Amino acid sequence: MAASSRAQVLRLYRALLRESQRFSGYNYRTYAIRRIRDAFRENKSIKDSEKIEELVNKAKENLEIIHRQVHLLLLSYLRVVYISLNWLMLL
Amino acid sequence: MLNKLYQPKFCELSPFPGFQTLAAFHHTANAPTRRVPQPRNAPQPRASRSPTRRGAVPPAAVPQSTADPRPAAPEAREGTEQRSRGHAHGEAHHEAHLHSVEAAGLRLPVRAHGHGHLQRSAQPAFLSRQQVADLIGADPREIIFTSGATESNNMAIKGVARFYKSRKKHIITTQTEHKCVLDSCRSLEAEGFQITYLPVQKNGLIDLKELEAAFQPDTSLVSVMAVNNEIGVKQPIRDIGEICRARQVFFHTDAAQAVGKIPLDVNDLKIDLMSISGHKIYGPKGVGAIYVRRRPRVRLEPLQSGGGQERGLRSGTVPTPLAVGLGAACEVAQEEMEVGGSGANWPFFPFPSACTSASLEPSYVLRAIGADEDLAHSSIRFGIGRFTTEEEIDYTVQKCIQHVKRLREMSPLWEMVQDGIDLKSIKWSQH
Repeated sequence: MAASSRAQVLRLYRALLRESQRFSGYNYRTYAIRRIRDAFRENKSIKDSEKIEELVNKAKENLEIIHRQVHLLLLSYLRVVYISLNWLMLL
Repeated sequence: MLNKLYQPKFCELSPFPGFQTLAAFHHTANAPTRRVPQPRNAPQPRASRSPTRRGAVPPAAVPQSTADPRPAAPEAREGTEQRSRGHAHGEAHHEAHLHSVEAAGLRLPVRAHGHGHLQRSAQPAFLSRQQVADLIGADPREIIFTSGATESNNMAIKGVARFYKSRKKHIITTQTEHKCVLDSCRSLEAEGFQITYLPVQKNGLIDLKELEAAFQPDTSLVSVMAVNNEIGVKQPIRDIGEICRARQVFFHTDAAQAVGKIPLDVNDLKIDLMSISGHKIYGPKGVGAIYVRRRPRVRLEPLQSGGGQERGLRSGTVPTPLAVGLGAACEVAQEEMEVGGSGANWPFFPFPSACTSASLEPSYVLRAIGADEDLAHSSIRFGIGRFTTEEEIDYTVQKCIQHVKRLREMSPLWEMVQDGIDLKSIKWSQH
């Protein structure tokens, strides 16, 4: 049991970092990566399984959020390009 | 690739962090809704909410799921929520907002026939009130949602002044307050109030002795901002709170820049009124809050009359998505504060800030701290926030130094300064 949850936590950690790398904005990217590293490091030695489960759920939620935000920000850049091209009457 | 639920209906956006804009994503009309097959003689769902009910939550803002409250696909769950969010530094409150709405959504009583009569305690705005209150150590009943810190400041100053105007006609504030505070005071002067604008010392802090000397028997309110938005100084709020409490005068602080960055407990610091701004703590634009103490009760004359929402002090439907965003931002800010701070203790280098840049006048704040005209005109403000990195700061500092050196090489005035000539003694000849 301990082994599988450890593997799960590591998988989450890797997934979070990988997803954060895809932020196109420098500030968000660095903040997310730093924050993820700090948070995982801080909670490294927690033994209480309930707390671990709670943190794992939080990590999963955050993973979803980062995933969404990466896409939304990307979309927003595209939208800006569309608007500015429109304004310049290049469309 | 992207689920069509992600597509924004409209947005005004800027790609640059630091520009905060609002993007509203609406529940798309084409979003799949889940319907539980009903038997023929099942009770029809009641109208979710009568429009005339006070404090009504617009039905669209509330997830109306007739099925399992946790549908398998995360996209479907998002699609049933109405959200609004701000951009740059936006994912902080995007995430926070979604957290909060989802958390609130899970608490809503879901019934098979899917009608939406909700207890007030289950509405999302209720949770947000709690979140805001927790950040400042208040009771949720003392939090009132407004359209921003400007409205909160107006409410606090004009509201308190007008309520007590039969007996008390004096207000104390400082010269470095935000424009909205100073303008509110100015409009009160036109109504016959007397305002004392305390000067600040060179370091930007007020002199407590002067504050004490400024009290009059008919002083109703003292308003001092916690952290200045232009020069970044933190006023001695604790001392001011004690002085005001000793003299039984209400103490209002504009904490827009301070909330979530320094610990503020309204009971510890003896604050009676506090203005909070949503977008300053990475929440949505267009929302703020005001803390109004209940014990001892602070009375204010409402600026906005109407259906009596928000304890009668600020009528008007609470903008649920914005309120949820504010609450979630407060929660995130609290976590960040515990972890290690968002670096707001770092100084600002002042520049004519947004509120005063409409005119060519140098910033009144800089003038108040005694900067000369030429210094005030030529200063630059660098704001530091949650997402600023040390690298960026080092880079900026290095570039600043480099360019200042370059400009000084070219400048005859700099040569004169180096020769010891006082620039103010130069007589400029007419051309």
